[in-house]
Amino acid sequence: MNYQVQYIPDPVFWSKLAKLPLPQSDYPDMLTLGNITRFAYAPGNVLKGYTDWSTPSHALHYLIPKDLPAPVTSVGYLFAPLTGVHRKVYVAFFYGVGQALLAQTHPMTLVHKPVGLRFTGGGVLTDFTVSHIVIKGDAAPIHMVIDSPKNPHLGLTLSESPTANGQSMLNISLRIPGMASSSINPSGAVSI
Amino acid sequence: MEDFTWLLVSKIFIPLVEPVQPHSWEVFDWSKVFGKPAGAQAIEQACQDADAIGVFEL
Repeated sequence: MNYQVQYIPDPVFWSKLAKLPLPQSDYPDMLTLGNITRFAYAPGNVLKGYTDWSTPSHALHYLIPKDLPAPVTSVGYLFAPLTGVHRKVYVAFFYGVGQALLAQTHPMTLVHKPVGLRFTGGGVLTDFTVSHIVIKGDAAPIHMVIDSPKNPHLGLTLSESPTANGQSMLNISLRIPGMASSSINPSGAVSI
Repeated sequence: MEDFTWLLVSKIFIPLVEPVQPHSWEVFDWSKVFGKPAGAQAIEQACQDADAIGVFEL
């Protein structure tokens, strides 16, 4: 996969998103980006079972509610504006044109296409695409360094870099002990 | 290659991925935004189609 970064300014949407979830709110809530895309948001755990290697139907699957109006056809990612030194990352599950479920995810999940989308109550979808465009809400370049709380030698870096043709790409690097540093898709290929 | 992929995801995902939102999806009242879950049948059918194709296994 190869992510291109697109900046979509909408101060009302992004400032609201950066503050979510509020401690006392009645979710799910609806948010509109650029008068084009409507997101249903709730602070649900999309990563439940994501690292459960003993259950193949859970591992590397997102968990989403069964109550959507239609099957999900594509997945996309959004980077909220910087608040302090942090940027939250959200995953959008599109079930219609300009209609999606939105939830916070971990940046690590951008490393590869999820194996499937698992619904609460059972059922797994595998026929969906992942958008090659990630959306951000501020002009500042994305630069995130994430160290494992359990092992400081493990790390993930996501950084935005411009290309010669004026586009902006998301470069993902992994730091793993005993392995050469891995850069994922700065130019549509994996280099080790 | 499969062994390498397995090593990679095992090494990096478990230590790095932590739940960012702890809430279970079931606690939310989705009818508030979606109305009656009219898509349930279509979703079930799509999942059955996926089963018929075969889910990638790790």
